[in-house]
Amino acid sequence: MNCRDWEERIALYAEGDLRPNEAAETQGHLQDCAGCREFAAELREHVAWMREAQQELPAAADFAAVRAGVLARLEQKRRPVARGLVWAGGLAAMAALILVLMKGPRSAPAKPTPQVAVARPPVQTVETPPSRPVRRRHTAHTFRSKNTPEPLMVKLITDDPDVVIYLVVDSKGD
Amino acid sequence: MAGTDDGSDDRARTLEAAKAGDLAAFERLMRQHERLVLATAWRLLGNLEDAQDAAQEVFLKLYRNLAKVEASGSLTSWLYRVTVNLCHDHRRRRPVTESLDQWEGIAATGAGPQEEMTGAERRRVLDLSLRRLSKKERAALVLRDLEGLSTSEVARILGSSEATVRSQISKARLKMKGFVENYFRRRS
Repeated sequence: MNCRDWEERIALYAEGDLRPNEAAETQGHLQDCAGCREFAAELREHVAWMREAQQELPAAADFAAVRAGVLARLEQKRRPVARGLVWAGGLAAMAALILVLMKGPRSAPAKPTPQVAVARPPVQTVETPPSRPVRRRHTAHTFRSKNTPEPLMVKLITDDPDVVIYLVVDSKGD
Repeated sequence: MAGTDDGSDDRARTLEAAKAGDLAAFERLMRQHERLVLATAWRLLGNLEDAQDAAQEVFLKLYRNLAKVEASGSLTSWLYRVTVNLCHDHRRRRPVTESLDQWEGIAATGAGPQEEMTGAERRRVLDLSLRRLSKKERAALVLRDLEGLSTSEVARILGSSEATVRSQISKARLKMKGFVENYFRRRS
């Protein structure tokens, strides 16, 4: 094993990173080899130089900038939730308003159903002429000519059994 | 158990409050660990601006994983591991182009021998030397020699065997010594 082969071990030995048995072997070689002793000393100096060069820390403002950046991003992530809650609240209020408006007339005290008394006339045994068949066409015609056409009514059934939407369209399409 | 003098109770309380969504507590948690994260990222990336970006990512990841961090044990080890991984990702996204001009730039400042360099110059030479290592060698060297962790801690953080980490540290030290010596030879 020549000195070149010892270099990797010496690089670890210099900072105490070898296992005990390997450290003992390396120490034995260093006792016999002035060149490797010098190399080991240079390595220690080099590691010390690196540590010294890296002692400088970022400035307080650099740390603060990192913290501020993180907190800003966390706040940003929270904001959409808050916005969503506002939207949800607004929609809920709107839905409640619609329900109130639609339910309003129904919730008014119901008028008592008029009592209809049906008075049956006494049966008369008077002979009547044979009845003529009902001319339905005429009746229908009469109905149309006397009354304005019924508006078209569309009934929309929603998921809520209490909410039914009616669309009424007249003959003009208004 | 009574409170301890090393502030571990305070840290535990801070962690619990942060987990509960207390942003002020999370800010305290960041203050407790910011030196570790930002300094390590700076050493791994060699650029403060990139290191700040990486540090922000580390803390955002910490926020998302607060529950897991507690379960995994050491927060410090977790932060080192995530910092190293995110710095590797950062490097992959934004590879650093190394040129001799950067070395010449330092030489042109006209500083004297190694001992007479200013702190900023030493730092620059070291950063440029670190960039020439492989990412694994750089991580092993930064954690062992600059952060002062033990070989076994470095192995645990990097998810490697101690033998692998020792080999990486050994090669990295030799390469770094060679780079720095070469730099000063060229200057003189």
